[in-house]
Amino acid sequence: MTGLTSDDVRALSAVFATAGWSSLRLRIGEDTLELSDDPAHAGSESRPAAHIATAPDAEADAARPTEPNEPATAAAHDQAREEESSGRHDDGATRTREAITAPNLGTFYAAPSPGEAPYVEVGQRIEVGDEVALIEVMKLYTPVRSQVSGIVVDVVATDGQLVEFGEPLVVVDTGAV
Amino acid sequence: MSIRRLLVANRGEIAVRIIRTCQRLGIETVLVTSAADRESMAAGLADRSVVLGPAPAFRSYLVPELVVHAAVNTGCDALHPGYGFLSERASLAQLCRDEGILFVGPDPQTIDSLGDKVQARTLAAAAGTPSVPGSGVLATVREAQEATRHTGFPALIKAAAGGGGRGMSVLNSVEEIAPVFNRLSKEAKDAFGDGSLYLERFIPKARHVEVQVVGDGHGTVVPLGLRDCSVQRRYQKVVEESGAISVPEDARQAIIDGAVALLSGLRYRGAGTVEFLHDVQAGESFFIEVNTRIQVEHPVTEETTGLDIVELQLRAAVDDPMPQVSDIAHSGHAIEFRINAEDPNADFRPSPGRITHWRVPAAPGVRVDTHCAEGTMISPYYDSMLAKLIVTGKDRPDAVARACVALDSSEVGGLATNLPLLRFIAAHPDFRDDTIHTRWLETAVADLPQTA
Repeated sequence: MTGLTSDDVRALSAVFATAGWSSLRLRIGEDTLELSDDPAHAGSESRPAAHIATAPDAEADAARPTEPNEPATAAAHDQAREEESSGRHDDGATRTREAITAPNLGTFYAAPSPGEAPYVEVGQRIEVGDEVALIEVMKLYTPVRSQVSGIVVDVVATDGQLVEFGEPLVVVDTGAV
Repeated sequence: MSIRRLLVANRGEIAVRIIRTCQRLGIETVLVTSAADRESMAAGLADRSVVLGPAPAFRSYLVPELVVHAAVNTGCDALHPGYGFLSERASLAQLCRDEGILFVGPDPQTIDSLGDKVQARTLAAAAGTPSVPGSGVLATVREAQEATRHTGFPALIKAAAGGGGRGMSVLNSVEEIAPVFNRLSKEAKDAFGDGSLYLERFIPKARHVEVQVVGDGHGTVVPLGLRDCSVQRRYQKVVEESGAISVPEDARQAIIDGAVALLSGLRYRGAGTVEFLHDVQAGESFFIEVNTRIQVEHPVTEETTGLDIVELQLRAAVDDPMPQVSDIAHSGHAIEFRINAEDPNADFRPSPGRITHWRVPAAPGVRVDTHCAEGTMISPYYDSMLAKLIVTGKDRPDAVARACVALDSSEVGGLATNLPLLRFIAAHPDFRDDTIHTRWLETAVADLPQTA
């Protein structure tokens, strides 16, 4: 193992997007990956935001998470910011996010056909069994149906792009009413 | 025309093997995997890997549409199918052709006609290499009696729906036909839902001899050498050698000529193997089948010729000229041992698990083709082969001596392996004296000591 690849970052971001964590800090080899739910902390990118610090910066950074109070402070900070900035979540409630993933490799389509409205948009409520996307394999189009109900919080896959088996397509907040 | 980016439609050691040759030739690789193989050695070596589907092969490696969709959408211009899985599926070659992806192998029609056993036998007979004398489907005991006039005794009576050694029996005289026919027919009906039987000549001592060839797709077929794969267990090859020195020179030449005649008539493209059974007592050779792909045992031919067969496959696919027979130099003797995750104390049942200790020898004349290392997880979804240990010596005795040392110094921990069996074979007097045959291991294995 030598450091993080872009595939690793993609996979970790996908996990992060669905796990409901506020931040994640990971060091592999000379690379440090920081994922944060807090837009101010992570920069311009919206959730999930990632940045990789490479050596020699990583060396300096790497020592910090081992300090006992650091993670707690970070979490408290994140939660405070979350409450004041968005108010989307009830106080202390665990966020319940689930990703609808690709059932197999194929090309992702967000809409039934070009020019039509997408199956789902952020903020929309969906129910179990609703179609959320199409996956095309060699000109065979198969609808992807949701196994959860809730509010769509993100459409992570890009229209017309290849997705792999298990890759998150749409993220749903199943705790939202 | 040249290949810029190749899709590797396989897993395990052969995926690693294909990627290594591509790296040397400057060809980018995209590996397709199942969810169970995301972290495989091949995935680490490929320039990119994409997950087709979940672990079961019928939802990942065995779906031609998924594989070709991945090839098209990752910008590949060629596809190598490896062995097993879809490698001999004409529909994959056809899909590739339809999508403008170069299939590294013969054209779909050739795969189809050689994959059909009956058609392949007809083609081989026409090219001068008949199959083991046999009958068509036998409806009655009387028909079976008639058929034995053609085959002689001993004869092998088989269920048409059987295979892998199941549903067959040896007939030694006319008197045995009726009771065996009736019993086997009923058993076959119960086991396979089809009671059809047929007969063929029984060869008590046979050598499995095969010819590795490569064809240019325009009628030139070059034989690269012979292999002897007579050490088998339940019709699975365990040890393979190059060359086939126990077979007399004239029989070897007849086998090579037969293979070349069969495949040049089909304008065969790429690597292929024509398999024969050589009757040791009668001195006759019979055609078995053609494998239209690279084989597990290809390294022994590479070690005795210095050729890279994967490279030749890629070259044949892009119409590069093939080597001349006169350019191929044969030297030494090579033997391959298949190290499998199988438990010798439990009837060689597959033993998946995590490899906690992995030590393979590094010595002159030793090559190890593997996808394993310490920490590798061997999942129960696929075949149990861990590695191929290939030893090469100046002659067969030298190679056997190297094999004994190499096998003794190989160690695998965390799961059971067939290493005790391989050591037993390498050290066995019959193997050393080269008096083995295709049924030898079945009986010899009874002497394999069980370990605690």
